[in-house]
Amino acid sequence: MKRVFNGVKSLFQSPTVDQKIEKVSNPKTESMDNSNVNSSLMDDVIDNHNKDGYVIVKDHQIEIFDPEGSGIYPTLVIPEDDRMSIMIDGERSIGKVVVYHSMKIEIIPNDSESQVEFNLISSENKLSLEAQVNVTPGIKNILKDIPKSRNAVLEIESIVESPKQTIQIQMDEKLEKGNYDGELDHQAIEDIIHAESNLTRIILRGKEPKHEINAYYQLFDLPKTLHPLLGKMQIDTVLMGTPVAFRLKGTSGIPGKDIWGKEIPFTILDHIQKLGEGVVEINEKIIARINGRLVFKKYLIDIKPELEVKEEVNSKTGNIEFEGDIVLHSNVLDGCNIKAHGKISVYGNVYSSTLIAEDEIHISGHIIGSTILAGQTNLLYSKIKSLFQQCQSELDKFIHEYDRVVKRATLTRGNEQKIPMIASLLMDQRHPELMKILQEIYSISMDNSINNTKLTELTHLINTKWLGIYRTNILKVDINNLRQSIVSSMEQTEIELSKITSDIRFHSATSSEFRASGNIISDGTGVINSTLDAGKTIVVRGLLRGGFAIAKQAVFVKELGALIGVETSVKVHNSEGKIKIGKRHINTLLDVNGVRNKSNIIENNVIYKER
Amino acid sequence: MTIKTLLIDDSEETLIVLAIQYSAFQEVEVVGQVTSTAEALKILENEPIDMISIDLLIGNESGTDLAKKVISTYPDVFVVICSMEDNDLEKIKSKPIGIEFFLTKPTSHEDIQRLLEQYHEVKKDTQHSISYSNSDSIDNWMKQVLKDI
Repeated sequence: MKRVFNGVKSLFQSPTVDQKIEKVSNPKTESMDNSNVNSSLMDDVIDNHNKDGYVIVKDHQIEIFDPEGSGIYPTLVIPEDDRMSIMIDGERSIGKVVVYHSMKIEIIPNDSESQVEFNLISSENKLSLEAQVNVTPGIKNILKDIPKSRNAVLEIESIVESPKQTIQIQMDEKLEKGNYDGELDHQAIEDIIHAESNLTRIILRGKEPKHEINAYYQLFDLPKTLHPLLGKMQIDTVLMGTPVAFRLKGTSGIPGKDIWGKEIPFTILDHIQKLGEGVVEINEKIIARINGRLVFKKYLIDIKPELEVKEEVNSKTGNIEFEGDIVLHSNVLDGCNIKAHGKISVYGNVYSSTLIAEDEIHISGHIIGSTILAGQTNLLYSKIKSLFQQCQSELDKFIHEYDRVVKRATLTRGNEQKIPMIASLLMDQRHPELMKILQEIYSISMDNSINNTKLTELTHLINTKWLGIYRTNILKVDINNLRQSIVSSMEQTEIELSKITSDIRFHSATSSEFRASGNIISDGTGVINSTLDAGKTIVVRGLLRGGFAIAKQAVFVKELGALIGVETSVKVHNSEGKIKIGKRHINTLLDVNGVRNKSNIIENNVIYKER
Repeated sequence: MTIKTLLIDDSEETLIVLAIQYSAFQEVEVVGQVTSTAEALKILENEPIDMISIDLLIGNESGTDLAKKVISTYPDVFVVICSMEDNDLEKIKSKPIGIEFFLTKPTSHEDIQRLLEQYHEVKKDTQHSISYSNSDSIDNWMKQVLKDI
């Protein structure tokens, strides 16, 4: 056998050779690195008449044909690839090797079998059963076919194989063992059985209970006029005997069934508001029992009496405390204390006075040197909530030590009588902080006569069991009762906190303190050297200069600070909250959830967020 | 008995607001609001002071230096550092020079409430019990108490 050419030039110059190239060149080798292309082309040319050796790869098998006479032996280019090892005479070979027929060539593919995992998961509410199939497909690695070639470059092809095993038997077994009783979703089951990739389907469902909805009240269309301070329509003063709302029927409940066939009782959704003392229900209508202002909230319908004062009030006219709303048609002068269980509206200015309302406070004028608190109970609830959290933590530490001491005491005969005294001693000597918190909860509850049943129960429990002489007779059951009562009170406190928020709205203020469980809004020229603390949002439509503004959710200010650099700080607690400033002066500080920024330049249209 | 309180801050506006916040607590009497170290020291010489709130930067003067001076000269005075600069406050917190409480502006009603709780905690008589101490291990305590009951 003899080589037909010696170089690239001769290859492309000779038409005879060109024809041969077309006939025998290996398309795979044409994709090789450019530097090798020409030599490969030459290497691959087989002169059938000269009987060079060659290789054929077909059906994942390598066949080698030796040359005849002086023909050239074929070569194999074996890639370095984790997917497959080529063993030649027992040793792994990589790279270009000369091969001959008597060599023992072994192909060892690194294949992986497909795997299927199957699980049934019941939902937390026991109303659905989810089938989860996790499929890991198999991989089969094979050699690509190569036609007759003197220099064969092996290529590996990976074929993804679908799972062969079926999960139908597994599913049937698990469903039977689980004693399920519900409505099967046959389509979902089919989908799971034939899943070729990961799949989750609900295959069985229970029946959801239909909750009973209590009756609810709807307002009659009552006459309204524009509120001069709020700028919105407000229901007029209601006269005694006026029907204000009517009852609408709810829907009855139907029990459900869980996925094991067990009945799930329905709950009664209490949409109906509580009726206050100012109203009465007659023939499914809510009637005003007194003249006053209608309160129609999601938790209460009531008529609050209204106290109207036409003249200026001052320290000589005396302090005012009223069960309902207070409307003051003139100024509030130095030294007044005004407290309302409802709203306070002032059509004038407030000077060096204190205004406290359970509900909203609206002041049309300027406020100087005063304290304005709205949502007093809510502010107290915030304090109580914090005490409950501390109390739970301290009580856990107490219980941990109590259990250890009691366990130790019970090991010795005769200690039984000592056990009721352990809690008292432990609290006095090792947990005075817990004692202090319990005393504080009791004091706040007693001093402020908060209308909260769970808190009242807790206060009674603290007083009778934990502060008095009975403290020397405390058992584990009493400790558990205390803990349970704290948890219940905490839950009710959170509900109360979420439903009562009261706003303060005023024109402008100087050197004053504002605290509201809801929003604080200044509509006028601005707020100077004051402190604002809002449970929701602060809005200052004018200037906020000097002092502090702290809100849970957001603060919006038209102009913050002053040209001369008056120190002014704004803070938002909520990480999702924001501060928006129209014009921001130097020496002003913005803080959102502890991420702070102090300004040394004047900035416009600032929006400050944590992220 | 009221807590006689002296406020030092180089911002007159902040002094007004701090005075409002402290005065919201009946037990606090703000006896002075000054804008310089010299004025503060003068009041301290002439008035009995229970608590002092010092701005970290009083103009060009250091609030920390004043705090150190107060702690060494008037050890019974409860010293509070109040600052707009959170980072600087963190650095000072790491140095144990006897400052009792740190407030970051803007301060809230609750912040002052916590400060007063701390004040009472520090001032209260810590002699709870002669026989047993809170720092004793529970094992020692229970041995003793079960013997004594």
